[in-house]
Amino acid sequence: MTQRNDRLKQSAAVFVATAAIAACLVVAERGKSADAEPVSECPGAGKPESRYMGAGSCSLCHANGNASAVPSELATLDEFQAWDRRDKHRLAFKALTSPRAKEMETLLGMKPGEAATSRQCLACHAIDVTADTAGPTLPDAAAQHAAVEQGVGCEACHGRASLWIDRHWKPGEWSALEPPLKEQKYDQYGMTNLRDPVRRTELCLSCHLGDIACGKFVTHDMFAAGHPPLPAFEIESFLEQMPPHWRTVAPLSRTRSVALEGLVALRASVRLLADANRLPQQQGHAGTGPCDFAVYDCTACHHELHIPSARQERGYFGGAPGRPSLRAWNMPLAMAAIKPSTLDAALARLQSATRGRPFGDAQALQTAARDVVSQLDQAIGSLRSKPLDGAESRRLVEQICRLGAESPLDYDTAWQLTGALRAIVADLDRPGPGEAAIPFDPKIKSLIEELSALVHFPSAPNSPSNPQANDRGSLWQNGEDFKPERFRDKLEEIGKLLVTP
Amino acid sequence: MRHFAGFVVAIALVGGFVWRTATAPASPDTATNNSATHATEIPPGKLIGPANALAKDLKYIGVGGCAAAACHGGPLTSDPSRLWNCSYTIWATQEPLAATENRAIKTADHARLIDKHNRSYSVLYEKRSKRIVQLLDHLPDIESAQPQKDARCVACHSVPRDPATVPISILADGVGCELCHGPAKDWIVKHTEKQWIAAYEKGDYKPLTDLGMIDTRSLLSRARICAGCHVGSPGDATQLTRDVNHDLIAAGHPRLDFSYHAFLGVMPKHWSDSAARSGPAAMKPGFKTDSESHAEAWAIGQVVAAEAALKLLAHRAAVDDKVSSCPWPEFSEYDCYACHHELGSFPSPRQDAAKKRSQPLGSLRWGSWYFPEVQFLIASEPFRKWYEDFDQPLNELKAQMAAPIATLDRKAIQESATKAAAAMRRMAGELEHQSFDQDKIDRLLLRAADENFSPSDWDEAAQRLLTLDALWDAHQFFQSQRGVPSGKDEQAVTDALDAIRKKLEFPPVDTKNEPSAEVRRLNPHFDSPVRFDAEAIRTEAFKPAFARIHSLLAGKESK
Repeated sequence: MTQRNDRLKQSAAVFVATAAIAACLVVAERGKSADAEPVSECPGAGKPESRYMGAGSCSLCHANGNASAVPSELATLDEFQAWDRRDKHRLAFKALTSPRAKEMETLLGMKPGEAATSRQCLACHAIDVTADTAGPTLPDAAAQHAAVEQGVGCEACHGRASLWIDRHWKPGEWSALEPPLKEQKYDQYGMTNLRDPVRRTELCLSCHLGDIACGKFVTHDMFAAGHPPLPAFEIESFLEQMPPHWRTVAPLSRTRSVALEGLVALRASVRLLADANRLPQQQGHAGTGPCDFAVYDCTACHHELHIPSARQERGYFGGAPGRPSLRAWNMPLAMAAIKPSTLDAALARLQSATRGRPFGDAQALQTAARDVVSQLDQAIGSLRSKPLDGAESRRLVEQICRLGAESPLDYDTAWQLTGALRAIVADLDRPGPGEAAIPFDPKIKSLIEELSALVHFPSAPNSPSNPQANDRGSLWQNGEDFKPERFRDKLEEIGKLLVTP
Repeated sequence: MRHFAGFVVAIALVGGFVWRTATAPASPDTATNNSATHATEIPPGKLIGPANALAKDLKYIGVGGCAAAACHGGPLTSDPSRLWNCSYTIWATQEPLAATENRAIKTADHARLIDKHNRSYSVLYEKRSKRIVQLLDHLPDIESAQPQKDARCVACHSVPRDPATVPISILADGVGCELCHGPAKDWIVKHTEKQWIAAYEKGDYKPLTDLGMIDTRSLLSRARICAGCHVGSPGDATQLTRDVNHDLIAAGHPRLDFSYHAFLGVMPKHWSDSAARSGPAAMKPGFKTDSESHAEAWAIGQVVAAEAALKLLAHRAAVDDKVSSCPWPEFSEYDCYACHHELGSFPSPRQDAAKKRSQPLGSLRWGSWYFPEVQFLIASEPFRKWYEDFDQPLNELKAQMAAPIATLDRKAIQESATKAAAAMRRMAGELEHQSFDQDKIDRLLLRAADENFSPSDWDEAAQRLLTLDALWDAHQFFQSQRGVPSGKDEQAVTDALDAIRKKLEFPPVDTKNEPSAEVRRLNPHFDSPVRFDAEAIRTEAFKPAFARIHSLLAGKESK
């Protein structure tokens, strides 16, 4: 944090000498709630005493190089190659030395090359080497540099490995244990259980949406300096894009993941909003602090003005015209699988706390956010243990189509719904061992392909020859060009086909 | 041409709405087929909007009081000495009167001049107005929206009083005679009596102004009246707050971009503007006609608009947003296009600006419309004496408004804005007595054509164009007075200014693939300068115009 503060202070001095005049009512009010309540905990913080080992340590077994290591159903032992050669996470650090990063350094008042060592950037673009409480984690600076240079490596997701690297492969001690015992091991040694769909989605979201408690937050200053926008998120599509370096063995596991992700993402968004509103104001710039524009919908403000205006024709969904609106909450997906009866009221309170005036009422917002998060905790808990079969999966598709068609479809939501539908359909085509496939009507499949075309869904996983089109310009343009009516019509068509097979 | 004209011209009207061509001013209800009941239409007692002006002592009588054929409702005439006799008729008439002498309008194909103030109330019955109120108040359907009874709308579109207390017959006049000339109940009869006429023909207006008439002879007093709506005002014990804030704009109201000189140019004059005129207007010592005072109108307009904007800001900063729905931070204080821009380019011109330290990264640019040219004015001789007085409070305010949103210090902002407004008021008072001779105008023109001028946004570029327009009009007027013929070099300057205008126009929307005929009919266009490229505007539009102006004026000097 200090590093970031220093940097922002520095740039503050350059830009707005008067930011020191900060004793306003809003801050005093927000400050109060900041004292009363710490920011949420970082869920993937791991064991304080565990240390980074670097992806090189994993490659000893996971790069097919160790004759004595035996592949299994879960671990094919070629994971390292898949990540090293095809996965964009491998390139995440490289982005910090790109021309764009250099531009950003200048604009943010950082020293040349500082992006590659700043915690604020490394938290998402590599492993966070400063996060350890047990001192330097890797044997020396060279090793540390090597580990960071690998970008988002194994331990960025699986957890710092020093406590478990020698244990997790031993069948008797860990890998062959039954679930409850095995889960204990994860907890005990600080390995992240990525087979748990909730934990996994949360982890991906911590970077792809943001998690202030984990030090992962793309501020408005960073966007303004040139950080590309964070694209719409759908867990199973993102995993498919990586491409996967693991095997899914449990039947309908992708469908379960989709069923849960809406709630998990909604919870993460609400946490991010509440945490951002508790952040103390960093001096300088427009962002980083309560009212950081980054928690709001980019396109609420960043759009060209038209006459006649589609926004005025469409309306503001109960919000006030001219106020910043929050980033789209994936409501259709969040509510598709389970819907707590009191959630609507809690969400309405949260909406009114954020809409009553520009940037919301800080205290009402915290109270409402707490309520929403605790309801979502419960909903996620009960959905986790709910049984899932083919019929239930079809119902999920039906719900997604119905809720999607009823919602004010923005581009991000539409993209996410498309990804979710694709994942479920693919899942039902590939049943688990001993189960019959329950394929969808080809008409439905072709409609889903049409949805995909409308939102420019990527057609194939990442490969060196097909980098995902996440260019800033095209993302914004896709959103501007998006026609919700056409998308809605197709969702309704799918819905009808499902009801009358 | 049309879209840029849209900015100068359409916004010259209160609201700048799309006008229905045949809505008679006296029967606004034709839109709702409800004209028979309009006299009793407004339920008493219910005030929609800010309640700070309850009109117990309403002194408005309505335009009918002025419109007798022998008074101000006589037949249209071009005789300057008889213009006073048809001033109501000019205001009320639906037909185009005359082309303006002002360039801004000549170049637009809008030479049809109609005083749209007379329709400012009836426009509230239109669908677009209803939609604005529907969106603002989250109304379930458009028919429950009643802008014609809404204080937020009526404050500018008719009498700035609680509409529930004003008879519909007066509301329906829109911005009628008394909105500028003062509520007439106490002076309507008197101003026609001999002894009163004798007094004001001697230049003594005090007996009448004491009774509520407003002396509109000076450019300054007129500018203040215009700014009350076209910029806005906090309101007081007798007048409603007039505030087009960001909520209203987002709901569909056009942004306000007042430019006194350009607005005067598009309003059909119902007052005498000729050296041959007679009557009261001629009586004021030193009085200049509008055509003699392009530069004065520009300078006074800048200062008056700035003062009004600062007073409104002080009001906005002072309002307790726990009590009122007045939003804060108030986004309309900032450059529209600081946020309303595409996100397609990297590196973007905004990032270049941040690198040059001219604008903090990711921040909103305050006061982009009202202040750049005031700062230009006070940096020029002979106005530099005001520099100290105004520049410091203004820069203080700029820094305060550029602070991160959460740390905006409302109290300090209110204080600075009040201080800066007071400085503007002093300056306006002195400007009223300033006269711009040709030498002064040419020196200002040369300064405005400063080759280092580098607009940081569209507003600044458009304001500079308006400055050049006004000073160029003034220059040409003096040349013609001296009998100097306008030649090729003059035409080249005019063309170069038109080229800037062309560059600043908002582009049309490509409707090639638009399936809806209805949408195509509406002639959709952007209301923002899509991918505004300041550097290209500077080098391709301003620079050539500056070169023309310099070569012309340098040529004159050497002769």
